[in-house]
Amino acid sequence: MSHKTLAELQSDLQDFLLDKKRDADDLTLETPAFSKEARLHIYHEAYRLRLIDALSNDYPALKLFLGEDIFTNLANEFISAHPSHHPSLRWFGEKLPEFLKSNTDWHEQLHIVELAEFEWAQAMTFDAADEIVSTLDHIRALPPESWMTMKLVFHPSLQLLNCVINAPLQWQALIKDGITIEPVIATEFQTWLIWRENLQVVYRPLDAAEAWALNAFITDHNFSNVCGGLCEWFAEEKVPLQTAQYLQQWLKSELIIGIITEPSA
Amino acid sequence: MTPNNLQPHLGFGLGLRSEHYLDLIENRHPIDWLEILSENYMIAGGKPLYYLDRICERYPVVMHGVSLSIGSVDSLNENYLKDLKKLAQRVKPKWISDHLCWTGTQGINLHDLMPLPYTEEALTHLVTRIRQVQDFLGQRVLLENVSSYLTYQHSTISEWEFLRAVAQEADCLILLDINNIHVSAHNHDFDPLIYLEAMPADRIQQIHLAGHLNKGDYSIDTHDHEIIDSVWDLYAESVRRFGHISTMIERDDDIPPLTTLLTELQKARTISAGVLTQHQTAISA
Repeated sequence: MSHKTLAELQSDLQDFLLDKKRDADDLTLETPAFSKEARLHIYHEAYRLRLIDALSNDYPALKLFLGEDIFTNLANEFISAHPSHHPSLRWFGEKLPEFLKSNTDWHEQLHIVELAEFEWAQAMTFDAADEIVSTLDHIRALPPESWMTMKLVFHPSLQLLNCVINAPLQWQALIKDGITIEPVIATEFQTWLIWRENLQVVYRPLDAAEAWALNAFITDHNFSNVCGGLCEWFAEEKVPLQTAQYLQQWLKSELIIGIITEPSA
Repeated sequence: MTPNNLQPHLGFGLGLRSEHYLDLIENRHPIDWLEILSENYMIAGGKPLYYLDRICERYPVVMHGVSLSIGSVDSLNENYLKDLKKLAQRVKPKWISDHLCWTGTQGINLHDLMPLPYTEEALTHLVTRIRQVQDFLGQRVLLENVSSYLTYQHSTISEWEFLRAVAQEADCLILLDINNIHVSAHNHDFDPLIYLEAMPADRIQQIHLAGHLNKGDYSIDTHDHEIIDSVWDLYAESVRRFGHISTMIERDDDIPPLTTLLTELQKARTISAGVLTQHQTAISA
């Protein structure tokens, strides 16, 4: 028996589990009933099964869409390319959408990529940080002169996803109705808002004007700037009311956690 | 009967699983305490932490981790330890446990509880790291014996001698998993009673009970079955030797309704009470 340090032993066993080494027979003893191969196989199999299970939990619609066999093949490719570096399995599937986009076998299948992106966005929303949300009363208490310089801070669970395919509708059909619908490729992308309301992950499509307004507030523009930009979609006299309606809806949806106004001169 | 250096006996508990959140919050059950899987709550917010806070208002809670990787040759993961401490500040657990194992090296996490070789080098390595972790957390931790399938050629002592030495030299406590002793005894062909015999009673803070899969020539620790009679027998023997030990049932897959687990938990209470009554009778006689 060759002497191995703890570091060598761990490295050898890990390399075997990651398929970097063909065998690790020199690590273990055996009995007539329980061979070296069988002992090592338990760890080898468990390693992949656990990670496939984690991906199945994070990407349930993708698994339903692809079917068990293709999903398992995809998961195995991903596991080989991206071993886990995080203490929690929560983060193992983080790079799957990126993997699909960069992989020649998958990147042209935009409906697969977007379905994965939508599922990961939901995972990120699910356990994003908690914050105390602003209410309509907060905004009603603002002095009128503060409105034009008002900026907004949004809940960490908020995500915007631009989809060319109807991925959220595909997800809904697969998970909620148990059916597959045909991927539809649009000529222009559709922005979807994903966020958490009353602890539940929810989502809805945004029209172009609301998507632009929300993006503008997220990127630190104030009410006045946003009103100016919205003139592209609405008559100038209607813009302040329309913007206020957006604010009201976002507040009711628990999307806003801060209203910042400039101090009076 | 609790040795002086141990936390008070908590009674009989279950592993907290999301399937049971509402039932545990809305109804009163004969459950004395709950064990959470630490990593499931080392997150920023949302539903898991919301329910965890409600649970902590109603039940004593202990934290049980799977990624401390105390035996790895990698450096201790400082971010992980900070997150663990942060969670402990929120939960205020009765104690914190993890496993006597390694979970990866060279920055990789295998997400499996890999067994250690039972060598002098591993012992020294572990003792240093356990002391570092305990210093950082400001409390002693519990380490659990894992089920294993490899019998390292390189081990120079038995698992039970190793665990005992680790606990004593690092001044840590033991989470004794009775099912894991049973599974490993089958896989490595040893007498589980020898294992129990070697355990230091004054360091056993908690007991795990669980189900496993007997494949004939070997057993696999699946945590998705009911507890079998021979594990119950080994539990009775543990109570006989160690007295009142906080006991919980760990179910990780095929999670049944809470009532099913409560039936198993009642069995643990009955076995423990029976053994302790016999013990008292014998002393009185």
